[in-house]
Amino acid sequence: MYGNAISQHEQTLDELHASIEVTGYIISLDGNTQGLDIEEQTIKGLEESGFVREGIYTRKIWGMVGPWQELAGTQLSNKIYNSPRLIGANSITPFALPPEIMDGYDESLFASAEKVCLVSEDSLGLYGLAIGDELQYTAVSDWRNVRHSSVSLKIVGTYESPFRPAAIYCPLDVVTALYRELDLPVLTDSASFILQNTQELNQFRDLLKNLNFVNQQAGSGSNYKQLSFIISDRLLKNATASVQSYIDFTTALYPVIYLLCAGIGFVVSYLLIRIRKPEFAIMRSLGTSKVLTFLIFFSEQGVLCLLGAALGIFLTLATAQHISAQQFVTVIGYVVFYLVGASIAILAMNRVNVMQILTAKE
Amino acid sequence: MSILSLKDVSYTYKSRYQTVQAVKNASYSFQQGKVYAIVGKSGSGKTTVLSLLAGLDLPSDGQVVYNGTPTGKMDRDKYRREDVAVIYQAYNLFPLLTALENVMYPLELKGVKAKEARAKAAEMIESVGLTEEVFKRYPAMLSGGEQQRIAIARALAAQPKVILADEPTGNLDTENGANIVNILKSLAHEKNCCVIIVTHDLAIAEQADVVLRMQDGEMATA
Repeated sequence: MYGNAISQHEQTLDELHASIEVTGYIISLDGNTQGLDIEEQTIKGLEESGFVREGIYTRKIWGMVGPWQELAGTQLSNKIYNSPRLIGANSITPFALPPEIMDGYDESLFASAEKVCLVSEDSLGLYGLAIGDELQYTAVSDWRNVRHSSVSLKIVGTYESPFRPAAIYCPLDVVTALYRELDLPVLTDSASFILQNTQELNQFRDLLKNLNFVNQQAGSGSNYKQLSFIISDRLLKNATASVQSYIDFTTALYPVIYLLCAGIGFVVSYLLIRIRKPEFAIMRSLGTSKVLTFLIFFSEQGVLCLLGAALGIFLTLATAQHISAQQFVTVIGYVVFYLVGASIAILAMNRVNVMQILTAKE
Repeated sequence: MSILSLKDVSYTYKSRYQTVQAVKNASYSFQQGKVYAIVGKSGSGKTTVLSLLAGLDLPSDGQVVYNGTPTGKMDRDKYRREDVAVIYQAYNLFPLLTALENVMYPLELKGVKAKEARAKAAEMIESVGLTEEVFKRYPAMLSGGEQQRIAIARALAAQPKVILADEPTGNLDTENGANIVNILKSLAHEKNCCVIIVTHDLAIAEQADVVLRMQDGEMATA
């Protein structure tokens, strides 16, 4: 029953962990969740940690709508500054309002590498474009040593934006390809995650330290380029607190229960053997050796004990559908101490005066 | 020729509180084909002598010798399996074995195969005057006389040369007691066994060929 109570609560805890979504996101020390320039290695480290179920990333690149224009320094910088940025995303999540997407496409377009884009309604008017048109975007490397690369994107949807110029959104892989073509380090603008293995979040926190994430409250001593990782697990913590404290309490009691089971096993077997002293004496008086007597009694008790343990396991499986490792260890402990008790009782019986037992007059 | 002998045997019980010399320098030679009765009051050392003769214990001093070998220098488990059998007042049958299985036990212990042991055990039970009806009965289903006969059948099963009996009629009525004594006498006189009966019943002692008296641990011929 004790083991079942623990495993049922553990099951409940597992279910809570499985059903309550825990998210995490990367943030700068000054509180920004965008424009972070997260290195490729950091993202890779998080994805390979085993704690990330899904990552939502955006990656931006500067440029201009239309073909490359040879402009002088300030003109070029003004042109680029006033042009929409191209933002690659692998999910529709970055949009505050759901975009309108043309027939034949859906939200999954961001997970593909297809050369398509979503343009703000203002930009459509500004550039004289319509849904279904091709939009040429020329990405540039930097202001001084300018390299550029163009990509043609089919406009498959629009969205509303209060900003001007509003960004053009396309699949993440499209922007990544432009980074590669321009020989730029692939930096991620923003990253948020749906986490898994939420039972082991402390391990994840340790891993974050190894990936050079710092505590957001680290303060002024930290480098401004350093990033922090926020785990939003308050809901999970609230939901699991009482279950977890019950498990902690019962687990703390486990050694006591274990010793109790072991003690019961020991005492039961000891007494079961001791009450059979007359049989033992008869066997010895008929010439059964001490070794054979030991083996007969021990094997008999062993069979009884194992049958009892098997019955216990069967009943546990019948009622709880599974047996936990802890329950199994308890059963093993019971069996071991039962057999130890039986051994000690048999060895002690080997020292009794056989004649004294057999000649006890009725 | 003696088959079993006591040579200056003494036995001392030592407990935490006291030391008791139960047997003092007892010497005697027992022969095959005779019935011996050891008589004496309670606490005179009769049962201790029986225990020493049965090889269940070793003397503190002196020797118990069977066929020329001291019990201290032999495999005493084998001695009890093959050469000596003990019959008790309380019968001491295995409560969870049937009458037949009780008699089979010493045979199987000697390595006799089950089928042969079963046949031999049946023969032994019939030889003590019981019928097939009791074979499958448990001790609790038998009368005192029947239980003692089963105990004798079990003692005879291994064909021992020495039969030790501790108050064998103590729990029986006169008729059953007389029957048991007759069986023991016939074992000595017809099967050439050495039968040693420990008793305080003088009527039984009178039927023995030799009566030995124990008093305060000392043994003497009556």
